[in-house]
Amino acid sequence: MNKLVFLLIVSIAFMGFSLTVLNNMETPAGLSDDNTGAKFEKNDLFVYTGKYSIKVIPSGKSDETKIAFQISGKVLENWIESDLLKIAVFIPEDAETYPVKYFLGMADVTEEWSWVDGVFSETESKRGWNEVAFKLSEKMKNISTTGKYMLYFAFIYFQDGKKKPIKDPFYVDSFTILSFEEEKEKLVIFPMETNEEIGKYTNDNTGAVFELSDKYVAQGLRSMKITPSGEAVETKVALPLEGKNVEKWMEGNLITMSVYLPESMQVIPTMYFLGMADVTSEWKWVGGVFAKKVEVTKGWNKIQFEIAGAMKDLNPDGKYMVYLAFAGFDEKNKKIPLVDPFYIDGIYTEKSKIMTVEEQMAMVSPEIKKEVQKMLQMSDDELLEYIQKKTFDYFWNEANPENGLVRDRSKEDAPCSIAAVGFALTAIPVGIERGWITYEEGYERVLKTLKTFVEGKVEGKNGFFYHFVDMKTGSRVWNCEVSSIDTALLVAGALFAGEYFKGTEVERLADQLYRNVNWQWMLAEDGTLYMGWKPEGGFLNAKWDSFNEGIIAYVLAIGSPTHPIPAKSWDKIFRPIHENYISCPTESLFVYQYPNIWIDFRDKEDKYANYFNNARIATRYNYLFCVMNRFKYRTYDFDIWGLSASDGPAGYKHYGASEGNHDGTIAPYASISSIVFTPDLSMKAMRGMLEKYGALLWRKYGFVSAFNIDASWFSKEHTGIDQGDILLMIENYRSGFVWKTFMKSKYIQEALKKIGFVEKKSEYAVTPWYLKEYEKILTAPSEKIAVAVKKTITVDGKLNDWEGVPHNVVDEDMNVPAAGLKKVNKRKQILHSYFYAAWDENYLYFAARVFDEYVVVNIAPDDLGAFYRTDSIEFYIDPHTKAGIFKLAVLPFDTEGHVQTVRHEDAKPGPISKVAPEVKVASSRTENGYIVEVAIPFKYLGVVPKDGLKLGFCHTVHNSNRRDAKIGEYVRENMLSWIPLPEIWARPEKWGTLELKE
Amino acid sequence: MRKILIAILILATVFAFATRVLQIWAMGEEAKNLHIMAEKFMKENPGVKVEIQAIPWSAAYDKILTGIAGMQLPDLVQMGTTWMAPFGAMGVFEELSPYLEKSFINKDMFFKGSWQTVMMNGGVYGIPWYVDVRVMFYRTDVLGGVGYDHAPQTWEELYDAAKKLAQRGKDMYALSLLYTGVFGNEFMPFVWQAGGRLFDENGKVRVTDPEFVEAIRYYARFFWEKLAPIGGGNLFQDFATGKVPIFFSGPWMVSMIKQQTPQIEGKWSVALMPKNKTRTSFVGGCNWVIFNTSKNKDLAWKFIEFMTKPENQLEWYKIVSSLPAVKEVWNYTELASDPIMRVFGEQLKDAKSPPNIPEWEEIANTISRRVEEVIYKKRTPERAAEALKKDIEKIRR
Repeated sequence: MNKLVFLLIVSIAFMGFSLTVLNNMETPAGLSDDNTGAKFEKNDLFVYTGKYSIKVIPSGKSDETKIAFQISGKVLENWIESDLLKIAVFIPEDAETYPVKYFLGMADVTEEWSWVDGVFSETESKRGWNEVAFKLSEKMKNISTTGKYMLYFAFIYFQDGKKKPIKDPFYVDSFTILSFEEEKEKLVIFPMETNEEIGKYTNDNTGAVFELSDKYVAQGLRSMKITPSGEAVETKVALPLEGKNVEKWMEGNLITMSVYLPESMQVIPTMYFLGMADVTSEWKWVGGVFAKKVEVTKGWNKIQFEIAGAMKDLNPDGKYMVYLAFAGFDEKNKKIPLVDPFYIDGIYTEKSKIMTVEEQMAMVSPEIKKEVQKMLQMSDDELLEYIQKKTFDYFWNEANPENGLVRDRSKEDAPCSIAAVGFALTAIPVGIERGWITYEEGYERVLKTLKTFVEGKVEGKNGFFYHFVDMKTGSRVWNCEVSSIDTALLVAGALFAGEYFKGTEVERLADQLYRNVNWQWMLAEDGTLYMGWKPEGGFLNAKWDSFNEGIIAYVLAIGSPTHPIPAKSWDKIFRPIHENYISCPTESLFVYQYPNIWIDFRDKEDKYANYFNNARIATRYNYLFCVMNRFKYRTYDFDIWGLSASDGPAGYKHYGASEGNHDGTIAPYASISSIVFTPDLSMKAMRGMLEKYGALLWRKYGFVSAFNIDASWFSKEHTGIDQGDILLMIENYRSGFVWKTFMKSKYIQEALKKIGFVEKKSEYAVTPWYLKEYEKILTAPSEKIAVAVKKTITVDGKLNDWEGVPHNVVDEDMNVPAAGLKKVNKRKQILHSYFYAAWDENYLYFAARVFDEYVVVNIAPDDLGAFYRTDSIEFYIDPHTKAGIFKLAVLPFDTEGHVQTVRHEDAKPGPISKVAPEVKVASSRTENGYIVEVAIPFKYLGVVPKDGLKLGFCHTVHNSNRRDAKIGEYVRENMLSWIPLPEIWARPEKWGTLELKE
Repeated sequence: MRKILIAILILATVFAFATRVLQIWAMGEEAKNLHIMAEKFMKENPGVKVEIQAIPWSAAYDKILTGIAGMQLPDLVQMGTTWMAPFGAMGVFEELSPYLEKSFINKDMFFKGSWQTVMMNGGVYGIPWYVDVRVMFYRTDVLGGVGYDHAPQTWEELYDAAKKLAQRGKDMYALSLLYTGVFGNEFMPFVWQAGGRLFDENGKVRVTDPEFVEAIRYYARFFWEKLAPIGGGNLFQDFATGKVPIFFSGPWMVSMIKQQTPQIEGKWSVALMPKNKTRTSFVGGCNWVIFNTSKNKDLAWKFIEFMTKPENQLEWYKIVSSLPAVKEVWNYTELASDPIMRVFGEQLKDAKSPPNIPEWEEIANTISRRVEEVIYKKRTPERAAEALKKDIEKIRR
């Protein structure tokens, strides 16, 4: 016995993290009105869960009506693990004043009363039952489980934008807390809300009478009163199930119904049965089930039916009849007829917002699982062929056969992406060679496609085309840009097709398409190509000025027979070296893959690199990065890797193997298309993905675009450009067909020659020459010294105290070279900073006066990450002690006008309130920019200040002038630094010196 | 001037013999001084050129990772003990058993806890170079002031002394449990001292064992009762003023205290970790590792042997004061007669390293998170241990 009790306790302890009822509102005891004059009454008319709810009778005078109660003890253990607090609120139909806004406040009452935090709910009220959800803030979760806390719920009514007292009563029930994972969506199938609805319900010849009721309500505004005939042994309700309701029915495996049994009832129904028939064509019994452990009592009850097998696996297009049967029993356990009316309401099922991987796997059809099993039995070459074929089908089926335009993704309403067309033009000859389509079919499709473009049926400008165009009309969609890279990919595909269909009209059209592109028009003043152009604003700010997939556009632009750009543009591309390869800092794999799809960079190099070897190292780095992070993200493993731009749980992102740029989302194409660089690792990845999650990854056109095990999310779509990458890279691996064919182009050969490519076998990625050259850039003069004078400064955002202190300058010429950053345009922009330093026994002081013609303010107060996205400054300090690097990022003004400060990417990163609470900071506006003042306690640096002490130091300025910056948006355009070297933020050994002087 | 001379010397050697080049990556203080040993090695081995590339610790992780990616690795690398498993799992370290068979080097030469760090899946993937171990640093005068003429010897004594020290006045504390590096490394000694462990022989997570929970409670109590400061502080300053007269740290702290706070010369000392069931401490340090891509494995091994010879271990100790990994060296007068080093030597006999598994860092992070919850009274030690157990099981899959 003792053991049993013990087990019970243990199992409760383990269930600790599940949904927790904070207050079931069965009694008003313990509720406070927080001096708002509200009265609370127990009530059984409108009940969401349990037997009772609380009727709130507002005073009618107070602007806010409040309910408060205390929580403490065990429930707090669950509180800190929860994300949401939900309450049920019933607003009567006739209420004139009622809550429209909900606020949850929290105070710590362990000892003295102190405020914790408060949040508004985003739920919008409607009449009837509402589930009002509050998202708990970090502060609210960050509490002590041994403490005592008060929760305050404020119910607010607005009229003409002003708070007005609520006069009408409303009802509240079921205060629960839960985590995001536990959040469930209620899918109401039979709401019992309108006469029209219950008019469709029949009594299956049991004589029962149905009536809409507003008396006892558990869902919405109405319930259904059932008056039994008093004669039939079973009282029944037959409810037709069809259309959308069938889909809802199939989402869950538990059907719940609320039943109210009035106090005066003589015979209580204790038998609850749910039966089901298929009535799509003729009546056919499906199955039936009794309710789970029924122990009903008078008042409100929840009755649940577990449905499975045939009762769950319905045909979404079918029609069904659901039968509810109720009966009572006498003392002899004999079924007897019901005589008194009772009420039923809100028959619903629940769907987890997030389904586990296992649950999703269980729902996959056996055919797919069989197919995946079959694939796993194949030899490598068979498997590659199989994947290729399925991937190829995308280009054949997701194209408009009339004009050859190809969908961006496998969604019916998706527009055409011109890059996907470039991939299709390459894919079709592969299909011919592999025998999946005939030569004639393929030729015809390619011809049509090229005609569409050459004959002006696709919108564009100067030979370039819009990134996305309508599948039928070829006209621009989404206000997208005329895109240089996507035109380049289109042209690459066309030139490839031209070589394949040499001597035909296709060759001529491809040549024409290429000749039409005016690359010179796309060339910016500084000799790099713009990323695009829009009729609304002209050329985009962004340029192909740093190493990435854009290099293929340069090869084509330099090789153009009609509008070539100078070969020296090739040298304008900034090529940062990551130890032993030229890197695109986002480390998104497609960047390395795309140029290598068409151009055979093997055994070739320009003065900078062998770009094939370069891609191989980047790929291996991406692989290692995933593997090293495999304990942080469950998705990653030795055979599950590849971070690249792709769909993700929160939309399309430029994922890559860099800190802060990945979330466990793997794009299958990333590892598969790497097969030319890393055949073993890529084969392993294909088999790994198929083996572990194959059934969820393998769909109509092969691998889906992405998945994330940590978020149990699987894309259901295929993306054109990813399909192309997979298909063509596998082809290169198997036969070199794409390379061989494309490299026959005299234009490409000419371009590579002009750039200075030579044939050379090598192991390295970066040439020895460029390694040295880049080292020179890195070690540019940096032996700067700034002096901190001994002076105590009041941190108030004003510069009065600094009088007589010499300032240092960071000016318009001190640009940090990096991908995506522009040099300050001195003719148009003002951007420099005067900075000052001082010290006393306790603090190190800095001030920066930043001159900037336009200060962008677009970061919300709670958005404490990466201030460098917008106008902000940083101070870097290297105390050369165990305390480690100290990097302070200061946002002069958040959207509420306050200064915000974090430690960023240093020894102890985080908001200063947490990691360095004694840092003082202030900011102020000036006529021509802003001032930031900070004081950093020496104790955070682990040094004792004294005359002559030297610290590593740097100061940076991040700038944007984007007047249309969205809240939270990354809008940085410039970065200045006292030491303007690449990646200065990560290279303390290159920082200057700050010297303390008496 | 000296540098030029060396350069010329090396050049001379280059021209004199058909040279073999041994490439080494080294970090931190070691990298700055290793050339002294390398010169000696080159003298002993004509025809060999040792190239040392110095890598700042902050860049080392990425350097090794990109090195593996680009298959551009040196022959030999200095590897921090807690990096052995994560990089070892990549399969790039040479297994050294065959070399050991033909060498004077054997595992009994090293401290047990240190040797643990080179063992993975039954293989030997490195040879200990130097070790570090945490001991108790304390102010003899301040402790004396509250009636302790010796360092606290046991958990009870440490707690008792702490109580008394904190009663000295406002803002007075007893000890700093401030952690700067991997928290798990700082906390685990308390677990070991209590007789607790992370995993049992079958790999089951044992953090809910009473011993582990006891360690959490003991540790957190210093914060609850304000015997240890929460949050920042200047260790040196607080140690010098006596505000925080006890802390736990490694050998590097000895010279740092001497430099930073000369005013307390003679007023501080070191002692063994306090005893509960044991006085176990944390042992770390660095190992030598040969990359299996090396074309000079025999030469690399020769260099390891060179650095392992007791006389060279001693010489290295004299150069950078890092603790010799070879036990025998501790009998030499240079160490044996130094009262502070004697404590470190003694502590090394009872020191462990965390489990040598690639997921250790992630586990250490969650230990930190859960213990912090106890410190801030968000959970009881028992509930924190339960949560920790789930965390670790999730990480281990």
